[in-house]
Amino acid sequence: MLVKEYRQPTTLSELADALVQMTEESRLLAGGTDLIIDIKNHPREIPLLVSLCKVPELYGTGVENCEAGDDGSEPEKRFLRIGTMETHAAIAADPMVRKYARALAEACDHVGSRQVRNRGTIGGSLGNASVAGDMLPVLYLLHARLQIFGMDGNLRRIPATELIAGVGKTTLTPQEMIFAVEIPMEENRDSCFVKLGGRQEVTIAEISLGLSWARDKEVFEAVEGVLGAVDVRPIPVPEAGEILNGTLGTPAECDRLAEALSARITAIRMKRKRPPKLRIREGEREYKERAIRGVVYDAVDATRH
Amino acid sequence: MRIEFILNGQKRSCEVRPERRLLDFLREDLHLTGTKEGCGEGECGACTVILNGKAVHSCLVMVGQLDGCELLTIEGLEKNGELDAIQKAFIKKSAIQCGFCTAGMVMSAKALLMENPHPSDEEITRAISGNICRCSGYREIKAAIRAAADGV
Ligand SMILES: Cc1cc2nc3c(=O)[nH]c(=O)nc-3n(C[C@H](O)[C@H](O)[C@H](O)COP(=O)(O)OP(=O)(O)OC[C@H]3O[C@@H](n4cnc5c(N)ncnc54)[C@H](O)[C@@H]3O)c2cc1C
Ligand code: FES
Ligand code: FES
Repeated sequence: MLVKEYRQPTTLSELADALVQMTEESRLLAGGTDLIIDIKNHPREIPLLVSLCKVPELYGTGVENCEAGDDGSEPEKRFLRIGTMETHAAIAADPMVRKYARALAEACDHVGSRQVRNRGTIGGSLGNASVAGDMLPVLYLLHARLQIFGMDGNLRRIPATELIAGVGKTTLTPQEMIFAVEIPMEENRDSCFVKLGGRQEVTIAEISLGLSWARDKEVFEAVEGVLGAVDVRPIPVPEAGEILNGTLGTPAECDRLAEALSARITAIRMKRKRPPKLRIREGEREYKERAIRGVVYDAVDATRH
Repeated sequence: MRIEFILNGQKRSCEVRPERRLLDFLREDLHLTGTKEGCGEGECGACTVILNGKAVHSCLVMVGQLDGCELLTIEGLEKNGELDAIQKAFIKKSAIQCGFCTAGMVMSAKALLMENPHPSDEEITRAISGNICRCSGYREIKAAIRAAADGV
C-alpha cells in the first residue's frame, strides 16, 4: 500500500481544508476495520488519507432540539445526535440510545466481535455502503437523518434513505463526509433489530429485520418494518404493519408475515439480471426465502423484551 | 510522522509511517513479537491489544492513530518479574496448547477484567468470542479466565 499523504486534522477547519484536497481515490479513515482490509485486498496508491480520530466535534451522543426538516413542519422535534466517530460498543452501551433507539443499540451490540465493536464507528459503517451492513436498515426504520459536512465547513442534512447510490457507493461527493446521525426521539415508540446468525459472534448479516411499534399497547399498533441485507438498499416492509397491527403476533401472524417477506425476497432475486457469482444448488438459492421465517419469529420475540 | 503514546506504562515518541498497521509496527519496528498475526482481517483475534482500555485488533489499526493513546500489549502484563493473574491462570489451568492464540486470548480477558472485574460465565464467553483457538475447545481458556477473576 502506498499512501501519498496522511492527514490527521484536529479542528473542523483543518478537516474542511483536508476535504478540499479529496479526490475519488482519496479516503477517509475512521476506525479502519473496513478500510484496512479493503486496501489489503485491493492494493493501490491512495493519494490522500484523512484520519478523523482527532476532531472532537465528531464524537459524542446527546439530545438536540432542532427543526425537523427544511419545511419547518415540526419545529419542536427532539433528536438524538450521535457523532460519526462513536464506536459500536459505545453506542450499544449508551442509555439514551437504548431508550430511544433500541434497534440501533441491538444492531451495534451484534456487530462482529468485541474488538470490531470497540474500533468500528457508525460513520465508517455507513461510509462503506455495504449491502450487509447493520446500521443502515436501523436508520431507515427509525427515520434517521444524516448531518453531512462539506469542504466549505457547512453542514447539510439528508434522510438516511438518500445515502446509498449503489453497491459500495454513497451519494456523497469526495469532498463531503458523514458528520453525525440524528434520530427523532419518539417517547411512545419502541424498536428492535434481529439478524440471521445474530446469536453467534462475528457474523455479517445475511438477512436482518428491524421492527418498530407503539409502546405499551395491548396489541401491536402502528408497526413498521425494514428488511436488511437482501438488496442494495434496506427495504421498508409495510407488510409488517398490515399483518401485525391489531394482533398479538401469534405464530399464525408470524407465518403470514414470513410468507409475505419471503415473496419479497423472491421478487428481488427474480429481478436480478446477473446470475449469482457463486455456483449454488437450488436449495441454497432459496435459502433466504426460507430462513426469513426464523428471523420473523426472532423479531416478534424481541418485541416482547 | 511523529507520534507520542504510552506503551506498557512508558511514554514513547516514534517516527512512523502513519499508514502502517499497528501489528507490523509492534512486531517489526519495536520487536514486540508477543502479539501474533493469524488472519490479518479481524477474524481470529490473535493480534488483540488493549488501546485506551479497550480490546482491539492491531491488524486493523493504522499506527498514525496511535498518537496520544495508551497501548497495552502482552509484554506489558508482567510486573516486576511476576506474571499477571490471567497469565498464571492460563498456565495453571493448561489453557495453552500450541500457544498461537494465547496472547490474543489473554489480552481479551485482560480487557474484560479491567472493565468488569466480576464477569459472569456468559460475559467471559462473549469477551473471547472474537478470539479463535484451533487447538482447544475453549473450556480450559474460560476456566482460566474464571479462576483469574475469582482470584483463585
Ligand atoms: C470481523 C468483522 C466483522 C464484522 N461484522 C459486522 C457486522 O456484524 N455488521 C456490520 O454492520 N458490519 C460488520 N463489520 C464491518 C465493519 O466493522 C463496519 O463496517 C465498521 O464499523 C466500519 O467502521 P470503521 O470506523 O472501521 O470504518 P473505516 O474502515 O475507517 O471506513 C470504512 C469506509 O467508510 C468511509 N468512511 C469512514 N468514515 C466516514 C465518514 N464519516 N463519512 C463518510 N465516509 C466515511 C471510509 O473512507 C471507508 O471507505 C465487520 C468487520 C469485521 C472486520
Ligand atoms: S490477525 Fe488480527 S484478527 Fe486475525
Ligand atoms: S492453543 Fe493453539 S490456537 Fe489456541
